[in-house]
Amino acid sequence: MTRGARKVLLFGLVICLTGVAACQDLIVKSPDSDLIVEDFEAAWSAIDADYPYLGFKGIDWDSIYTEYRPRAEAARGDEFIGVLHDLLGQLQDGHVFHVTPGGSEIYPWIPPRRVRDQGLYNPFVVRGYFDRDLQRSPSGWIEYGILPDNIGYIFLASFQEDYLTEEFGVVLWSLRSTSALIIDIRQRIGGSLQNVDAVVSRFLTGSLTRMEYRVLGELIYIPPLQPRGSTPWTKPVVVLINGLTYSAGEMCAEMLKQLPYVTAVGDTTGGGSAGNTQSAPGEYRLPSGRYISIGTTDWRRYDGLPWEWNGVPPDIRVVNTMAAIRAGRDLQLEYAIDRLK
Amino acid sequence: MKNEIVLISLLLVGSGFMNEVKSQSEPVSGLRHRRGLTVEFGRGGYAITDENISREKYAGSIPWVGVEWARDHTRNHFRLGFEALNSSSIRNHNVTTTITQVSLHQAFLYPLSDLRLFKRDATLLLGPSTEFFILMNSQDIAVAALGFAQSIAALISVGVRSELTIPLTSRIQAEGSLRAGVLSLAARMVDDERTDEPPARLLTALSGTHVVFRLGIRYSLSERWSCRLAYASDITRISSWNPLLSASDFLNLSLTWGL
Repeated sequence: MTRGARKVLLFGLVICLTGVAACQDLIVKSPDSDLIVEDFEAAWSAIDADYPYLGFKGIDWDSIYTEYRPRAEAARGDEFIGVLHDLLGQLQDGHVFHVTPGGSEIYPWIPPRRVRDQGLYNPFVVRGYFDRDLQRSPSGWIEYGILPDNIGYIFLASFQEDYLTEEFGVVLWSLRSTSALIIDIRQRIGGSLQNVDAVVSRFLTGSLTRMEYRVLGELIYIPPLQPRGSTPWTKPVVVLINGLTYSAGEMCAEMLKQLPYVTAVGDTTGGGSAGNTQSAPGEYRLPSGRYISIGTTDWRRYDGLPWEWNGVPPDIRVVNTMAAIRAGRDLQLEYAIDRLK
Repeated sequence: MKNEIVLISLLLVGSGFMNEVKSQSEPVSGLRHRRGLTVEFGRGGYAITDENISREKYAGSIPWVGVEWARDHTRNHFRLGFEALNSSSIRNHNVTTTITQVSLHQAFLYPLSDLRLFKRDATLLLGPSTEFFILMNSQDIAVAALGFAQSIAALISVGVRSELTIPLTSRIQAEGSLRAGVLSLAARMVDDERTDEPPARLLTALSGTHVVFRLGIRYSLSERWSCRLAYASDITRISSWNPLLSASDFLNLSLTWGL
């Protein structure tokens, strides 16, 4: 090898070694300062000011501050995310989550009944009870059909958006010749009051008093719900609920339960009544750019208790089991069919 | 945006597979050890700040694997390559994230005028390149309940690639290459509930690019086989949306089966 070639070789090796050692650290740098304590203070203060159920849940938020502030101070970099996660988890609220700047939503706590009933509703098992395929509404969020004993069946996939205000009346009208109705809301359902109203109002013969409702602690008056549609449905109804029924789904179940021809069958709902509204969205941007979302509303059942943690119990408790689901049987649906025959 | 997508797609598809099917003839100049199939392995340091996740810097060790097909034509040289990086131990203090980078790229290189470097005849190639690149960043924290923090960035780029070869002896040559995206159709995971930013944009090199640089020494093992030890640097920068910057340094070993 010539002297020139050796120089080039040596130059290349030096470049390799220095590059491997350092280049990425020169280009990508840590932030000059972190905002950990600021984020902690903002999150703690937002919950302290606005979360409705600290008293109901017996959470001593000041002692939480004493416990978590040192953890926040000791955290380095993104270790704080774990601290924030645990802090929010103290609320034991399925509506509470934190959000990365890129929009990933992370829920620190899942209601136990939701965990318990995971997999105990299976749409393919439900479809096995029908002679014909279920129909779907234009939005795709409602499935409906007629069971062999001329029992109508409506599955509501969600109370989000506004599809129920447009489609529920049409679906109900298409089942008007059936002798009874099953409304299935055994899913993780959240959504808006307008969609709940769109469902419940079709079953009313007179006005229905609202449940007690507070936003940021202030009692809000909502006028009683009035009937909608020319002919209210007054034939027997079973509403199927379980631990996956949540938030607006629980509100729907609780309101329908007040009607004399409606029976709630299944298991106690998930238990989440700390939602939010447009006026109090419950989203707080922390100084670092991360968001937290907490409930700001306090809905109460007709007995005056929040359905947070408590859930909405069924009138008749029927438990689905994984063994039954695996065997192609839905015990809750079977009970409803037997009752409505 | 639809027209831009069509334009980039046409460039990607049309930029050269038509050329590649042309008949092969004698190669241009002394690049015999580059022609053929190359497999490449390496390990190096990786650092990233992805503000879709947080402002913090994550760093750690990551392996590199790559495969490249190189072929010579009468007037140009074709390159088709695949590279992948993956590690779940990229770390910010005691928080880890899983990084996956995948790149599929091709280029057509044309020899420039005669060049002498270090009193030797060097070969400099330059030409257009295209690349599909995706970077996935999934933070391994806060998954005890529901949801997880992740971030995705993708670039479909047209750019340039250059290669420099300097023969040192009959069996050894120095090699360098640079590949960079110039115009990219970029996609980024966005928070569509809290912002109205579009998930796809057309970016110039100033606002989004993926750059790969190599410098190494190739040694001819036999008539058909050669190996190369190289330093490689891989940089990704996207300043549109929440900024993303990653950089890595590798020591790579590759083995080429020559045509």
